[in-house]
Amino acid sequence: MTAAAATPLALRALLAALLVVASAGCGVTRGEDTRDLLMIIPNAPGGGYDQTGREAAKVMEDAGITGGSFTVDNVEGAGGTNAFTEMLGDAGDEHTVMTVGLGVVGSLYSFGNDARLGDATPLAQLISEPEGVLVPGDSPFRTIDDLADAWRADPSGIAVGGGSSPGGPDHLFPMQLADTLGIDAREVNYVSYDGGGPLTSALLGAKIDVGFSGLAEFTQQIADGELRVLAVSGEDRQPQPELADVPTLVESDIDLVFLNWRGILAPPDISDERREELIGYLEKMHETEAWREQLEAYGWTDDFKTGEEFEEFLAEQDERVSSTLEGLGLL
Amino acid sequence: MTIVVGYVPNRHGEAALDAGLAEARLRGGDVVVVNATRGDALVDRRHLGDAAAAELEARLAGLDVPTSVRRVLGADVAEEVVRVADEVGAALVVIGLRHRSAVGKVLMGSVAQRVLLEARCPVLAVKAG
Amino acid sequence: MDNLQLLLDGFQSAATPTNLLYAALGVLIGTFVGVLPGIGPAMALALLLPLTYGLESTQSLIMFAGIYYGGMYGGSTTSILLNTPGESASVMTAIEGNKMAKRGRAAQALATAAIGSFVAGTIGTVLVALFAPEIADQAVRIGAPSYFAIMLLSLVLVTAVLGASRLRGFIGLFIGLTIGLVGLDLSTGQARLTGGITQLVDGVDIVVVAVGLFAIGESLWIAAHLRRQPLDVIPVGRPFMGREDWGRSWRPWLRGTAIGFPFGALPAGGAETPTFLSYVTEKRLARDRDEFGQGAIEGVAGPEAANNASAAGMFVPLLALGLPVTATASILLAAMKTYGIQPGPSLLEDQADLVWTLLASLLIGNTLLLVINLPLAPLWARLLQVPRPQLYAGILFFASLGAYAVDQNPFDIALLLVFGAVGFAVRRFGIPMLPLILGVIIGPLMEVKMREALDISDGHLSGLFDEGLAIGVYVLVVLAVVVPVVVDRVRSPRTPHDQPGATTEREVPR
Repeated sequence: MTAAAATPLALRALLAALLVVASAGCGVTRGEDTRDLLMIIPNAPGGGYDQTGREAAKVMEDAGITGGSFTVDNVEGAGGTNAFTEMLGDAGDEHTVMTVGLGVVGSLYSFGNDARLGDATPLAQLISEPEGVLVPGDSPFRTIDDLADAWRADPSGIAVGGGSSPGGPDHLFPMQLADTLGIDAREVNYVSYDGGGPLTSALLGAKIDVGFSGLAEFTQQIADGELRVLAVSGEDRQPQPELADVPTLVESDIDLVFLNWRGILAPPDISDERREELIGYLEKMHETEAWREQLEAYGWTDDFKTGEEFEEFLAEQDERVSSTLEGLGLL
Repeated sequence: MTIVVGYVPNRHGEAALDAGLAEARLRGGDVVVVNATRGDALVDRRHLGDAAAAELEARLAGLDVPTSVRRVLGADVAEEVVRVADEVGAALVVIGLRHRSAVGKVLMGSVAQRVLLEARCPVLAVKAG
Repeated sequence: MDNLQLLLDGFQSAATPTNLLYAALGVLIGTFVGVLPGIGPAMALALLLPLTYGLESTQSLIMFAGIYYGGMYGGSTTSILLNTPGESASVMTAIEGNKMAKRGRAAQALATAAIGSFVAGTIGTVLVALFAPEIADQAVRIGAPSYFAIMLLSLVLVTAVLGASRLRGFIGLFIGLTIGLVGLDLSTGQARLTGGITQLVDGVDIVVVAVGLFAIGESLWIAAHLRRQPLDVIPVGRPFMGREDWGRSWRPWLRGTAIGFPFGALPAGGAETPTFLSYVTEKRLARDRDEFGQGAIEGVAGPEAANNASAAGMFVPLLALGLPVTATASILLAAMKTYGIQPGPSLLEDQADLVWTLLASLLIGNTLLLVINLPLAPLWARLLQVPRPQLYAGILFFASLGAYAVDQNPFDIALLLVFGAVGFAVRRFGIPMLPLILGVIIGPLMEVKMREALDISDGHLSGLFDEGLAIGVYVLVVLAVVVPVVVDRVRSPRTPHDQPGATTEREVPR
C-alpha cells in the first residue's frame, strides 16, 4: 500500500527537481571580467519592451558583438517603475542594461516616483513607433477630419479608449491630439483598458468610438477589415502593406507627430570607458543586417541616437510628459 | 496468561488474530487485540476506525476466548505494541508478516521487525494464507 | 453539416497511433504538473510548452491539447483531496469536493470532476467547432453594462453562501473586497491601499491570494492542530461512482456547461464567475439543500463542468478574434503562433486544416484525459495516506515555488505568507472562506466594468442600463432579492419550520 502511494510522490519529487532547475536558469553569476550582460525588461514577456529588448539582445549575441551572452530578465510591475528602481539600485554594475521607453517616463510620474530616466546612464535610443487612430470597421468616421469635427463639436461625447493607464503612451497621444485640435484635453472622455486585448474587444463591439494604440497588435484585425486606421502619428507612412494607404496626421493638416520610443539605459555611476564600450556595442548592432530585418518585421522606425543627443531627448520627453499630465491636473 | 495480537484490518491482521486465538485456546489464556496508529495521515488504512472496532468487538464477543480490543495512538506503532505487551505481562505477542519488495525495505522500516527485536516475550510471526 | 465533415477530416489527421501516444504523454505530464498546488493551468502550460517544440506541427498541437486539459484537470485534484486549489477557478471545487473527501468520498468527487470536465469540454469544443465566428460576433456586442449587471447578480447571490452567521459572512466578504481594492486605479492612475510598496501597485495576484488562503492557511491550521486534535481517520470508501452519484451528477454537468461556455466566450468572462454561479444554482436546485457545505456531489459536478466549459469557450474569442482573454489564453496564443496558426477573423478560412486538427486534438486530449484519469482517481485518493507532516511540507514547498515562479519575485512569497496568516485567522475566527474569496474575485471585476460603463457614458448613470442583456440581468437581480422574501412571507404563517433554506442558510464551514 505505502509503496503505491509513494509512486505519485516520487514523480512529484522528480517534477519538483525539474521545476527548480527550470526556474534557477536565470540566476547566472557574472564575475567582473565576464563578457556576459543582463538585460532587464520592464514588462511581461510578449510586450513591446520585451520584443525590442529581446531582439536587440539576440542580434548582439548572434553577431558576437559583446563577446558574451545575454540573460534577459522580465521585471514586471507598476508600468516599469519597479524595474527602473531595481536598476537604479544596481549603481556601478557594468554588466546590466535595461530597455526603457515613453511608458516608463509616464509611469514614474503617475506612480509618484521622483526618479527620472536621466538618473541612470543613457546609452542609446533604438527605435520609435508611431501610434494609430483606430475605429471599428463600420464606424461613421471615414477620415481623421470626420473624427476631428465630431470631437470638436462634442468633446466629452466621443468615448476614447487606449490600452494604457494615465501617463502611458495610449493616454498621452489622444491628449496631445486633442490639444493640437484645439480641444480642451480635460474634457476628453478617456477610457483606459488593461492592454491591447480588452481595447480590441471594446473596439470590435463598438463600445467606444475611437481607440489609440500602437498598431503591431492589430494588423490582423486591420487586414480583415474589422478595424480601420484613420491616421498614423509618425512622420512618414507605415511600411507594412496593410497600413501603406493610411495617411499621417501631418498629411491631414494636423500638426502633430507622436512617437512612442524605446531605448537602452545602464545603471548610474558606471565608468566613462564602460559607457563608451556599451554604446559601441549598440552602434555595431544598429549596423547589422539582422537588426534591419527586425525593424521591418515589427514595423519599427529606425530612430537611433546616442550620447548627448539621447540625453537631451530624454530631458525633452520628461518635460513634455510632465506638462501634458500637469495640464490634465493629474500631477 | 495473556496473548497480545498486533492487529491491522486486513488479511495479515486477520491471520495474526486467528493464530493468537488458536494459541489462547491451546494455552487457556485471554487475548488482547492491539491496533496502533501514528494518527498523522488523513487516511490510514491500517487504523481500526470506530465502526470497524465495534464490529470486531461484536465478532470476538461470541467466541470461547476472553478478549479485549485496545486502540492506541502513538508516535511509533511497534513501540506501542511492545508497551501494551509489557503492561499486560503478555506471554506471547502475535503479529502478521507481509512480503516486502527490495524498494519497500529501503523506503520503510518494518513494524514487524521492530516488534520481533524489542519485545521481551516470545513473538509469533504468521503469514497470511 | 460542412463543419462536421471538416472536423472528421481533422480527426483523420490527428488520430494516428503515434499522435495518440503524444496526446497521452501530454495528458499525463499535464496532470502531474497541474496537480502541484500553486501551479495552475497557465503556469503548467508555460512550463511544459517547450516540450512540444521540435515536434512536427500536428504532433505538437495534439500533445499541447493533452497538456492543456491535463493541467486544467490536475488543479481540481488537490482542491478535492487537500483543500488547496492551485488556481481561482478550482476554488468552488474545493468547497464541496474537500468535504466529500473528508467523508471518505474522495474517489467519487474525483470521478465526477473528471467526467464532468469531459462532458463539458467535449460539448464546449464541439460548439466552438460549429459556431465560433457567430458566437464571437455576439460576444463582442456585450459590453461593460452587462458585465456589471452580472457581477451585481453574483454579489447578490453571495448572500446565499454567507453561512450561519451573516455578520461573519459579511466580514469575510468585506475583507475580500478590501484585498481586491489593492493596487492601481486604472482610470485615474491612483495607487490604493499599497502602503507605498511599489510591488503592490499592480494589485495582488488572485493566484497568490487563493493559494495563500487555502493551501498555506490549511497547512498552518493542520500544523496547529496536528497533535491536539483527536485522530480523524477517513475511510477511503468505494472507489467508483454509484448509481445515485450518476443520477445526481448528470444534470449539474449539463447546467454547468450551459453556464460556463458563454462566459468563456465573452471577452472578459473568465472562469471564476461561472463556477460560482453554477455552485449557487446547484445549491438552489438541490433537493437536499442542507447537504451543501457537507460534501454534496452536485457542488463538485456543476462547478467543474462550468470551469471546463469556460475553458473551451475561451477558444471562441481566441480563434475567431485573436483575443486572448485569460492568462492561459495568452500563453495559448503565443503557442499557436509558434505552430504557425495566426488567430483572427480570417483564420477559419485561411488555415482551416490546422484549426480543425487543433479542435480534433482538443477532443482527443479530452477523451484521453478521462480514459487515463478515471482509473487514477482511487490512486490519487491515496495521497491522503501520506503522513501529514510530509504531505503539508510538500504543499508548502510547491505553493511557495508556484508563487515565486509567476514573476520570480521574492516579494510574492512574503505576500503568500501574509495571506496564509489571513487564511489561518479566518479559520480561527470562523469566518467563511467563500464570501471572502468571492470578494477578491468579483470586487475588482465589478469596479472595472462599472467605471468603464460610466466612463463611456461620461458619467451618466444611463451608461449602466443601455444594453438589453444588462436590463434582463437586473430583472434577475431584483427577483433574486424579492422572491425569497415574498415566498417567506406567504408561507411562513402556515409552515414556519418547513422553509429553512429561504431565510436561514446552513453554515458553510470555510
